[in-house]
Amino acid sequence: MTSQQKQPNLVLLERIQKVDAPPFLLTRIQQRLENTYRTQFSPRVVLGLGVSLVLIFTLNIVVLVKYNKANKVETNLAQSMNLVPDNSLYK
Amino acid sequence: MTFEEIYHTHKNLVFNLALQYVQNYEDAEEISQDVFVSIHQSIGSFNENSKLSTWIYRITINKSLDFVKAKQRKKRFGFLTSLFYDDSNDVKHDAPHFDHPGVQLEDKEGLANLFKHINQLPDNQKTALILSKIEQKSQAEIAELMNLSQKAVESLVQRAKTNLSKKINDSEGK
Repeated sequence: MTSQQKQPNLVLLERIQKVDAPPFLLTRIQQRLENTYRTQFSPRVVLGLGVSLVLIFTLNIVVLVKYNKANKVETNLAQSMNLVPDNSLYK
Repeated sequence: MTFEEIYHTHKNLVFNLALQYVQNYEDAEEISQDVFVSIHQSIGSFNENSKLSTWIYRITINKSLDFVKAKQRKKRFGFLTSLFYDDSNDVKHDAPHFDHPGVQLEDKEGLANLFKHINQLPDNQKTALILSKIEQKSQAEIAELMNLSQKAVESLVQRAKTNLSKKINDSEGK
């Protein structure tokens, strides 16, 4: 830094005075806190939603597995009777 | 200590510190609300070994810096949208104005100009400068608040002053 450079007048910063907080700040904070807690889900609701989702996924998996198994059995039965296992009649 | 007791003991500390970051009454009020909501939500996780005021100082510094960053992002987005929707003369995204209630009338112009440059400093230099020059904190106190060594704080304040000089001279040389 050269000596010709202008120095910032930081004394001005020291002259800034302290002020009082706004008068209705606490009321506004309490309102915000009420709104925050109102929009939050209770743990019971979150748990219920979680369990429902797990049940739906499990049910889906069970149905898919059973469907695949049933398809296999049907194919084997048709083959054992020398039948075509699908609907294409014009092979 | 109940939440209301914490509020009444620290409301001025929080509001004034936020004011030094944003230099605007309404913005400082919004930050103060954020700080006390955050205190209410995380008072359970407060480590009793450290001082309550130190913890509140840190929350206020972080919330103020987050607020300033969010406002800058909004401003950039505002500039982008104004490129596409430039069909009216309405002010869609107003620029932040200097509205610091702790500033005396005779210092207003000088401080508005000084803060214009302080706001361009990196976050840690700005924080060190605010804490040392406006909040009149000692180097040891700043070191504790910023989780730094006293030497690092000294160096930060020195760099802030040097950068400030450069910025002021650059702007006046234009």
